[in-house]
Order: sequence, then structure tokens, then C-alpha cells
Amino acid sequence: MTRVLVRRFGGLMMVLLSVSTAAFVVLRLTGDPVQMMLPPEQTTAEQVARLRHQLGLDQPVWVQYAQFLRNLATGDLGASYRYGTPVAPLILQRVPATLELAGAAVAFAGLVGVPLGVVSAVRKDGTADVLASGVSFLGVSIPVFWLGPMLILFFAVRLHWLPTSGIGGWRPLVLPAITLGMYPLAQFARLVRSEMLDVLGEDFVRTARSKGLSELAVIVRHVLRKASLSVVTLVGLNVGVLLGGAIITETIFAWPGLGRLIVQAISFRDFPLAEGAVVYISFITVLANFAVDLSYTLLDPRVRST
Amino acid sequence: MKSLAESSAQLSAVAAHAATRQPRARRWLLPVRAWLGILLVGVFVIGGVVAPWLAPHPPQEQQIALRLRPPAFLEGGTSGYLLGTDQLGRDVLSRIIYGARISLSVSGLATLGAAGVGTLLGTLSGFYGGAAEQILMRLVEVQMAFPYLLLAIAFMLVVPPNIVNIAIVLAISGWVVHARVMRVNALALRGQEFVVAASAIGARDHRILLRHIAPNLLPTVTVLATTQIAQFIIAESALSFLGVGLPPSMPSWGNIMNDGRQYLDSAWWIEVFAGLAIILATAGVGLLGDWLRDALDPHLRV
Repeated sequence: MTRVLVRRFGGLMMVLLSVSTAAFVVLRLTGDPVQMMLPPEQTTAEQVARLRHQLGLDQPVWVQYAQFLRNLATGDLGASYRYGTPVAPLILQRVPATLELAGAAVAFAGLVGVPLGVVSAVRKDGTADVLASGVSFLGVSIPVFWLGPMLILFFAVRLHWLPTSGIGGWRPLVLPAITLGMYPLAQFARLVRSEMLDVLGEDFVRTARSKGLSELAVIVRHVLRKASLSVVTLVGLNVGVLLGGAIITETIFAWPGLGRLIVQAISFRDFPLAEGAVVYISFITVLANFAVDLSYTLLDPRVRST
Repeated sequence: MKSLAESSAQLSAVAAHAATRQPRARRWLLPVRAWLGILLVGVFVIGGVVAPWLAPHPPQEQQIALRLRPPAFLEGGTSGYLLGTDQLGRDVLSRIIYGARISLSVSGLATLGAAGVGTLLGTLSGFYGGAAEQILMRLVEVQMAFPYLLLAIAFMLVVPPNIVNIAIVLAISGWVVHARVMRVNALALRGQEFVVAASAIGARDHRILLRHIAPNLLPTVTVLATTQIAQFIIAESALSFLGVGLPPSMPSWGNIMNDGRQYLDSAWWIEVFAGLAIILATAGVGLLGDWLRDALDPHLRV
């Protein structure tokens, strides 16, 4: 067991290293940061050369890469070109808002999506199933960048129930969380439905029923517990999407999260900031998947032995 | 009095009938959804193909005097502009019809690329195994941990924004899905008796791959590709939203929505109808995909 975990962890570190390298290469393909920082009309070649030297961009690429790796190993992500301050605090400053939004979105998706899936499975082919399937079907078809503005239009602009943007308290969080949570909600509902339909026919469910448990207890304690394995996997897969993929939701609601930070960093060619943020998000994603693997052992005793 | 054998035969006939009843009812139910999917997809595909004849106005024709007019069926609407006009007085309906042409070609092209590359690499690595397989799987893991929108943004900053390049960027983000699924499928097929038998009678690898493996992978490829087209329709518009999509002058659905978002308060119809086009097209393709999965490959989980 321990050996498996160690090997798995080593593999994850390899993934992380490769992601950092990919970020390094991809960003350097996007263009020259010096040209973004100095307006070309009023700068001399000397100024360009000096800035280039200051940023270490006059070095050969492989020297820059070695430096990048050395810094990364010591946890130093460098200084942002744009802000001139260390990258790590700039990223960490955005983390609470990002986690708040991601957490609220997952909570919304789980609290609505899982019951929706349960109802669908228990009342298979009934009216409730058709309605719930319809909702989950629409959920995967509605683009985030349409849903967000529509929610703003109705609940903020027309009805004045909630603010269009802002941060602090639950009110500004509601619309972004629904926007970001709609897709995972639909995924949860579909997954829970199909998993439960598989499990409902199994022997241990009949046993649980025959020993006189209430239908609710059978579903919550036996069926859902078995189905929870794949739900947890789905949550893990969604962590990366919710952190890095919240870019659109963050842009619509002017939410000060990581996604927007990265987009701004890329368009400014702020290499250290963009690299740092990509590495950070990948790290969390990889860690989340690792945690998912670990949680299997808690949810399914059979996995422990392997 | 009936003999025991007779009545038991009758009983089993009744039981057999009861057993077949449910599947038959379900078989009848499925095509309803499938037909809806085919109808929706058909409308958009045909609409896109015959756009020049179908659209009431050229998509770029500007009537500044008629700017931001509401849909014809609402108060203040202008006849001839069924879904209203945008900020430059262009016909929203015509732009959405031309948008179907652009958005569907981009997502179709991207799916062809992603499915082609992913299936080829996944199948070969699953079939042969070895170092190539290890490298491919690491590559897949890396790409899955790398936020794909960032890859897309960075890529689009470098290359000129046109239909082919947008399709390439989408394909780069999408091939891993095919590679993963196909590797597992090829791996499973490799051990099956008919494949072992084929190689035992001396069939070459390429013959086994083409004659025995490929036909068995086809249903899964079809289902995966269908699901992916729907995702790519949305992703193309997402790139437009982030400002790295097709040039703003091209009436892709994403660009129409970008125009619409700025006039959401005064002219909601631009955003609403362009969004509905995306939702209906995506839902249509999704319905088609669900039906294909049930019909071709019930065990596939995507």
C-alpha cells in the first residue's frame, strides 16, 4: 500500500515537472515581454537591452530554463514583470476568492445534482426522471458565458435581487456559483442516476430491504455509498476545471480569482506570474486527484488490499 | 383439461412475453429523443450549408437607420428582421444562420483532427504497448493537468485567427480523450480470442489492426466524436468570449454573443437568440450522441 502510494506520488511529481516545462515553453512562444513593456516609438535599443538583461531574457533559453527549475525547486517563483513584486504573494492573494467560488459551485452542484440523480434513478422513466434528465441535459448544453449574463440580466438588472458583481458575503456569490456550478451539477445528476441504476439491482440492496430498512436508509446508507466512489472521482476531476476553468465566470462577474490573473498575465507576457499560476493550479489539481485516490480506501474497503 | 406440459409452455410464453415487453417499450422511446436530435442537427447543418439562400440578408449588410431594432414579433420590430438587428443594423437571424456554417465547420474539423490523432496514437500504443505507450500516457496526464484554456489562449496569440487554426487549437485540447479511451479498448481487444487467432494464422499487424481491431473501435469513436462536437461548439464561442477567437467581423456564434453582451440591457435579443442557437445545436448533438451510445456501445462511459 505505502509502496503504491510512493510510486503514485513520484509519478505526480513527474507530471508537475512536465506541466511547468510546458508552461515555460508555451509562454515563450507567445512573444517578447519587453516589447509589451516598453512602447517601441520612444525607447532606444539601449533601454531595451538593459531591461532584457534585468529580466534575464538576454540569456540563452536553456539557461533561463535551468534558472526556472532551480527557482521552482526552492519554491521561489520569481518576480512579476508587471508588478515588480514576488509572484507567490500575488497568487496566494487570489486563492481565497478562487476557493470560495469553487467551493460554492461544488456545493451547489452537489446539493442539487445528487438529489436530482437519486430521484431520477428511483423514479426511473417517471415524470420526475424525465424532468430531472431534462435539467441535466440542458446543464451540459448551456454555455457559461451565456448563462452568466442571463442570470445578471434577470436577477440583478431586472429584479434587483442580487448584485451584478462584487465580493464579500453570500449575496455576490450566488450568481457566479450557479453559473460555474451548472455544468458539474448536470454531470453529478447524470452520473448518480446511472450509478444508482447499476447498484439498485444488486444483492446487497435486496438484503438491506429484506431486513426491514426504510427505503431512505437503503438509498442513503447502501446505494449512495457505493455510488459515491465515482462521484468523488468526478469531484477530483473537476477541481482543475473549477480552478483554472473559472476564467470565464470570473470575467463575467469581475471576480478577483486566479483565472483572471492568469489571463491578464498571459496577455501581458508576464512570464513568471503566468508560470507560477499555472504551476500552482496544476499542483492543486494533481493533489486533488491524489486525495481522490486516497479517499477510495475510505469509501471502498476492497481497494485497501490492492 | 390442459396437460401440464401445455400449461407450462403457455406460462413460459407469457413469461417470455413479459420479459420482452419492457425492452420493446424502451426501444420505442429512444428514437423519439433520437429523432429530436436528428431534427435539430439537421436544421443547423442544412441551414449552414444553404445559408446564402436561406438568410434574408447578407450577414454583413449594415442598415444604420435600423440599428438595435427588436424582433419583428415584438413592439417596435421591423418586418423583414425576424430576430431584430444588432448595433450596426445587421440582421441577427441572418448572422445566426451564417454562424451555423462557421461554428459547425470549426467544431466538425476540430473533431476530425482530435479523433484522428487520438484514435491513431491511442490504438497503436494500446496494441503495441512498451515505451511508446508509457510516453503517450505521461503526455496525456500532463495535458490533463494543464489548464487547456491557457494553452488555447497562448496558441492563439501566436497564430493568425482563422477557421483552421481555431480547429487545430481545439483538436490539441481534445485528442487526449480519444487516446485514453482507445488505448484501453485496444488493450482489451488485443487479448481477445479472435485477435490471437488472427495472429496465430500469421496475419500481419497492419491487417489485424485494420481488419479486426478498427471495426470494433468504430462505435466508440463515433460516440466520443459526437460528444466532442457539442463541446467544441461551446469551446469555439468561449475563445471568442476571451478575445482569442475568430476575427470579430466573422459572424460566428461566439462573436455574435460578444456583440450581444455589450448591449444586453438595451437589446437582449442578440445575446438571447445567439445563445439559443448554441444551446439547441449542442443539445441536438448531445441527444444524437446519447442515442448512438445506447445503440452502438452501451458499456461506454464518457
